[in-house]
Amino acid sequence: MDWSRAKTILIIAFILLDLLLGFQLYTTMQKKSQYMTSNITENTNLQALLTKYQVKLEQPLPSSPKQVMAFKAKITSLNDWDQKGAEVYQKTFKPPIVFKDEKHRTQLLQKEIPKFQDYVYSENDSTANKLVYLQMKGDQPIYNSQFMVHLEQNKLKSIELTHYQTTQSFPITLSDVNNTLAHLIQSGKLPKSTSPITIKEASLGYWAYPTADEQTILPVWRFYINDHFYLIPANDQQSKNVEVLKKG
Amino acid sequence: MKDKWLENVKTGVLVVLVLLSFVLTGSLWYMTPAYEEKQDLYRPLHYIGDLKYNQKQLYQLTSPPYLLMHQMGTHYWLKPGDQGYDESIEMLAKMEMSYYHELKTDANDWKYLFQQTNGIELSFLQDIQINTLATFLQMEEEDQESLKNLKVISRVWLFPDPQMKQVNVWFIDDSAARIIQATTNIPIFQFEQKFSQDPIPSTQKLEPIAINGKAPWDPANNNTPFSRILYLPTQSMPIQKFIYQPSNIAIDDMKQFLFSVDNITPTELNNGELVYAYDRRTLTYNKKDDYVVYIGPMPELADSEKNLKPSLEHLNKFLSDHRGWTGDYLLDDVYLNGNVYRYTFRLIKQGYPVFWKGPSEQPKQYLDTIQFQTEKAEKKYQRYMYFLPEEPANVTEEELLDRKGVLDYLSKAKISLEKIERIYPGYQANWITNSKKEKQIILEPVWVVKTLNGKQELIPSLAEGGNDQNGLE
Repeated sequence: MDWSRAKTILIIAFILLDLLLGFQLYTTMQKKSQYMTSNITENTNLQALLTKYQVKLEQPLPSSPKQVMAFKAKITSLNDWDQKGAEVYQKTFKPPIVFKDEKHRTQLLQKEIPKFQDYVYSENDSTANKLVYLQMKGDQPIYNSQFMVHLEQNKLKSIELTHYQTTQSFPITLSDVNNTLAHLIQSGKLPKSTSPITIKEASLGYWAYPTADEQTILPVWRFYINDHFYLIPANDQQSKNVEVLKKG
Repeated sequence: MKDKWLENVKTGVLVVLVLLSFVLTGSLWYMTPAYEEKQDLYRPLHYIGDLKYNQKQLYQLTSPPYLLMHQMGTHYWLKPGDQGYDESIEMLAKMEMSYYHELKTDANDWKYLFQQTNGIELSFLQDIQINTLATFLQMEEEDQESLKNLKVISRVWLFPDPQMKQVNVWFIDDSAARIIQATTNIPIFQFEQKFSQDPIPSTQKLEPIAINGKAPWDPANNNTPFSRILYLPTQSMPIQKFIYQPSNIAIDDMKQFLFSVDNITPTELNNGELVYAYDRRTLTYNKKDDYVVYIGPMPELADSEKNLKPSLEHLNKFLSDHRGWTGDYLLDDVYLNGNVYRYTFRLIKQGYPVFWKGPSEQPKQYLDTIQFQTEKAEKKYQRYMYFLPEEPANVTEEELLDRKGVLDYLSKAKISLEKIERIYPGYQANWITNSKKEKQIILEPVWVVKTLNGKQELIPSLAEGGNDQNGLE
């Protein structure tokens, strides 16, 4: 047998094989790195994405903690208020109470609202005839736990109120706000318009969901665009579920 | 010499190339994403239960679990799965009633019913409200109004009136000893045919027992309010014990049916709960105790306290859509608190109601019940994530105590007959671990004793020590 010749053929064959394998490996790595960067795109190239989709941020994105608490909570029951639904209490003023100015109005509300100190006024949730105060849990608001004051010029007509008392807490690792916003922009759920879209608010807060026996209060990112709130769960499981709620 | 050197170089190069090919192949293998990662997010729909349980009309979910058949002094149970049960249930659910009036009875009336004629008695798992009965029988608001003098319905008894050539029905409130009679539109020959067609099951002949010891058919008791009646077999009752390898429901299947979006990710709490939330719907999966609670929207229905049918029909459709009925379930209890209605459906397996082992007050969620709660525009659906398959893994023949045995057992357990609302055969379910360390579910036959104060005692079968006191719950 001519070993020398056989070796030459084998060398050529293996060079070809290795070239082929090398090429395959190169293309696979290329694809993978593209995939990885596309996932972070959103992170590093958020700026590019904002420009491409003509989205403007009115305020810089909030710096978010890595972890927040989620809660189990029960509704605070109010005996001398009317119950409007399972979670909402109502008080109607007949006749409506007249207030002199904003300061007087706040004083009146302070008197009427139990646990007034738990709530913070939210301009983005309010309208001309309706003031909305959100219940705060630590530094974050619970977007669907609020009291809503119905106004008629300088009169208080009625108040609708929800208040939760937390019973247990659980640590939750948060998703990154840059990634979340990048996902929202690419989700196709933003309004289609030729003029730039302005994000008036990007904030971290909570949403109270009815669950087994109590409510479960989970962190959400909220973006306020064109009278619509876009809510995305803020847990680190890269949730892609965008809920859109019209203001009002 | 030069040739030899060249050969050595060639060998070296070849070795390097071979090794390189291994390295490259290995790297390529490692770098290629796994098959699952490449899979599309689309999952085919996996229906949960068998289709046959999910094509039922409402009356098949609200029917009594037992029909007590009275045939000229012979009494026996007809239960789901027995020949003639389905036809009888359909006949009852479709009958119309009229001419309601309250009745005073004497021993002769009872003697006729117990000894001299044929009759069908609807026997529910407990005394029920009129609006609950109206989810099974055709009862409009006027019909219910005619029964308003009865606080609860303990039993409903149909029997022929040969003189008037019609079938009458008694609505009986045993606690208040009151009866309201109505006339049905069932043709008398059709009613009598039921008794000539189906043979009497030979092993389950029952004996009626008045709980206060005063048989209503005895003329000596004419002046006392009629007694509640228990039925027990004269001979010990053959019944099978079953062991099942339970089927598990995948949370992804539940999620896919209950939410309108394809990809919904849960928030995991460190107490073992997974919370899925989207679009006014939440699904909480308790991994530790293997049950789910779903809360979602409920359409505004033309519902009232007197008409629970629209709600129940909605719930049946909602559950059937994902084939959530994983067996024969029957409405056991309706509980009303303010605007909140709670419906408990109980599993009927091999013809008998199933009760999970444990305290009967505030029981945990197991496969013996599926529960709903409705409140205005919201509904709650709660279920266990395991269910019993069609075929059991093991069957053993057992026997339940006869009349004398049960009465002896009760007297030893110091349970007075007068405090008993009902006694019927059923199954007690529990987890067991077999010799191969597999977890299985056992259904043990028991006598279910419901007392008037809402408590429940279970009397085990003969093999499980039913004839001594060890098995007392």
